[in-house]
Amino acid sequence: MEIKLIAEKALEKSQKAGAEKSLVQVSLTESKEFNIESNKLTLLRTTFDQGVEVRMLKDQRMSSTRGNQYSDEALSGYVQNAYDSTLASPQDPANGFAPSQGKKHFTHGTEPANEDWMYSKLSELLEERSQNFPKLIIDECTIKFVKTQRVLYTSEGTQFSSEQGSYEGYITFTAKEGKKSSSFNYSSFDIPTSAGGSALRLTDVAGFRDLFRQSCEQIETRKVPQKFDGDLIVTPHCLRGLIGAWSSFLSPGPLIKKSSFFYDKLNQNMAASNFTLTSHSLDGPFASRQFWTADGYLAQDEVLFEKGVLKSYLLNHYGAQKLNQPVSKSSATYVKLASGSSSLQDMIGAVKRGVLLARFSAGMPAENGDVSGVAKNSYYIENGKIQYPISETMVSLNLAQMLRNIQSISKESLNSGSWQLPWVHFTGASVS
Amino acid sequence: MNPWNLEAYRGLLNGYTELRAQENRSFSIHFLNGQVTSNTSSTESGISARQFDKGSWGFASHPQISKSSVERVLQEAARNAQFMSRQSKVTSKIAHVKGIKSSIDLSTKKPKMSSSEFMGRLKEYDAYVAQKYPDLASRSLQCYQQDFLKEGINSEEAHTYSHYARSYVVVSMTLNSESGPVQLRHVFGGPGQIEDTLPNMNVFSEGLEGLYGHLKNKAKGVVPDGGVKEVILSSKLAGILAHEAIGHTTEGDIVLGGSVAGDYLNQMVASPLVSLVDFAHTALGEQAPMPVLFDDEGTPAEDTVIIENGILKTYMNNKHTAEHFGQKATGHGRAWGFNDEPLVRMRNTAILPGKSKLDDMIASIDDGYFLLDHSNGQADSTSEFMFGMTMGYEIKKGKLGRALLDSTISGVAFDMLKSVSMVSDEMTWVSSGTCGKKQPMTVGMGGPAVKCKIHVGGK
Repeated sequence: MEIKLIAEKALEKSQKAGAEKSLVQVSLTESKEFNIESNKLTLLRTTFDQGVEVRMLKDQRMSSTRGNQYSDEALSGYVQNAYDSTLASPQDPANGFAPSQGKKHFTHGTEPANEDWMYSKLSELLEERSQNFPKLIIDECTIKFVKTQRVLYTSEGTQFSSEQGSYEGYITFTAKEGKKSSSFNYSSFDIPTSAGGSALRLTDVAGFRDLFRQSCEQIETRKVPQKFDGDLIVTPHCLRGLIGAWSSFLSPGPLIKKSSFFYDKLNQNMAASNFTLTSHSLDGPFASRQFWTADGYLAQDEVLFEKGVLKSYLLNHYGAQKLNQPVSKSSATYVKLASGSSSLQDMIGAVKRGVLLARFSAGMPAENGDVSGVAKNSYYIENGKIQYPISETMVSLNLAQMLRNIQSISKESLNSGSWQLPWVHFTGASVS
Repeated sequence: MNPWNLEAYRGLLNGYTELRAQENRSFSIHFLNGQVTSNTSSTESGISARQFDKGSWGFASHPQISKSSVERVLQEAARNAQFMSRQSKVTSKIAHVKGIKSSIDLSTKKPKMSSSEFMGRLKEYDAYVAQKYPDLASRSLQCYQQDFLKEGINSEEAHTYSHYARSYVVVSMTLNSESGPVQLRHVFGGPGQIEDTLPNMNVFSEGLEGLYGHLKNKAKGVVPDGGVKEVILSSKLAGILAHEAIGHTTEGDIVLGGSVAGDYLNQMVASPLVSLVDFAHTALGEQAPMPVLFDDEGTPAEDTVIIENGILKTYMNNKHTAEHFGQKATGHGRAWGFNDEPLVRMRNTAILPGKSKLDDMIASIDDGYFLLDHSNGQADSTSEFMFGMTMGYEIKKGKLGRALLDSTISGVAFDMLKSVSMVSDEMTWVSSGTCGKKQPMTVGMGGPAVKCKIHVGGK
């Protein structure tokens, strides 16, 4: 069914029910997913999904209802539910969504699914594992082709529509020999539809080949020799998690509570001068795009940090109104950290004592930015050389201080299809 | 109960096939400093089919539940299974289990609350916190409910219906301190819908009084001294220890994926004081927080005794891993949404209570920590686990000392469990969290206080 008609119908019902303003989103998704479990291709999934969201504003009261049915009866139910919840909500002048953004249609990744290619890529992955990494177990792996149509309509006149496709997936793996296992490791990947049918190997994406080799090395691990304060060389995979943690402190909740260490720090130096982090919604070396925000704003690429200066929060409409700051037009889903000028080899060579941190299995950061966690799939560094893989090693750091403690950034980087990141050398970690 | 009348489609099932209709409902309301920052609800429903063919699986789902979509997903699942079996030449088998015919309904039997009545209760809670604790830097209150309605049949005669529900009110308080803002939270609620779980004001105020007392102490807290320490894990923490440290490591699919537990069956992996059970629906004579009578493979759910007096006895299995390991399928194949296939999941994982008294356990430690509450956690194939610690105290010469700031604790489960020297006679269940794997999942976690040696993050 034409999803624009569903959106028009839901919008009309919402306004007729008594909303002053309404925002409606409708989606239709088809996906095909091949799965590996324990080194065997075991499952093929075909799924069809639908989505409807009705957001309603009345007397500065707001709520939203989501569902996945398109029938007239279901749409009436969503509208009635949203209306009841809206009336029961307290008034807040900050409630709302984007003013009219006009009419726009977007397309990206329109090539159709190439199922034979997907299957062949997984077969190739299993063959490469068998030949080059026989100790490795691919615990789980999926490659999924996702094709989604979306529309967003508002009572203010915004009419967005999009068609987008991409290949996405993840690999979780462990190496095992005798009774010893490595820590499991994992990463996700995104591949543009234009690569379907190409000679690209999955192990060429996101540095998987190196991760596999490292897992095989990590069957034998040792503890660090003693507790110490030292340096971290954080790998791109691990850095993505840290960027997620920094992003959470840029989000509305901690900023409205004034508990974030970024509160009231816009346009101030918050990181080392070589730290430039950008968020790419519409343009970037990535497989997918985000054409609009959840509040109906036309998306934009944004600079979050420029040469260490905090340039943007990640505020939705509500947060922006509360803080009297601009709405963020991106969500830091697709991120890029500008590469530096150092070689990874030189960066490791500059570390007297530290850890090459490849995965950080950490607790939730405290509100002051303190966080500690276990160094997984990581290596001990001493006198400028990687010494051995480590286990039972805890790393403690402060997320705010860490940004100021950047010593260097590598010129090498990895691209997973949703992030492009280098290796980063930080000082000031406690290792025990 | 059979709201979608799936029995009418039994004649369409070929080979080993599962057919499941499902509706997930949820709502969430979040107050921040007295204002509603989000008020959302969601309903997602659909039909799915899964078919097994010579060692391979095919799955298909569709959001409409109708005769034509049932026929469509059955055909697509069969086509997918056949494609995979032709290509991959995998020849594994699955356990055959006579399917159960059963139902469970955790929905409320009380009159449903209206939106305005419900919002009024939440405003009352929030106003109480604001008035009673004016020195808070910020407060938040979140209320959420999740309902899972499923009807399933399979070609081994199963026909099941379940309506699981859980609902919670989570209060978070933040105080400013010299070391920056400090936060703690308290969770009210459990299995059932809000009509059955919203706390009365006495329960609410008592819960918060304890929380605020700990928060005041935490505002003067210290960073733990990092390293391996002798600790008491409170009964609230024992559940996440059972779940992360042992539970995940002994899930059948994780064992197939290289977990070290694969080499320890029938071996001593813990102190004889430690017994660990994944309860199906009834634990120690009471309903478990996530009662599972049957799983999404139509298997009757039974308790799984994973560790008995320190010895690893079995894994948790779905039909595939049960056949592989030659163990019994006891109902661990669970799926989150209509468009998800069942995976090996825990239900209610708990360390069984012992005989020690908590006060004696604290008194027995000369220099260590009493760890009270946790945030997130993660397991590993090596059995090295971690979880966030949000509240704790020093123990000096058998007495509680200064409070601790947030930290992380970790250990290698099959080493750490051998260090367990005392187990208390209490039992506390936690059920508000969501376990993460390929899909999320509702689980219960429980246990007594445990004295052991564990790695504490710090400076």
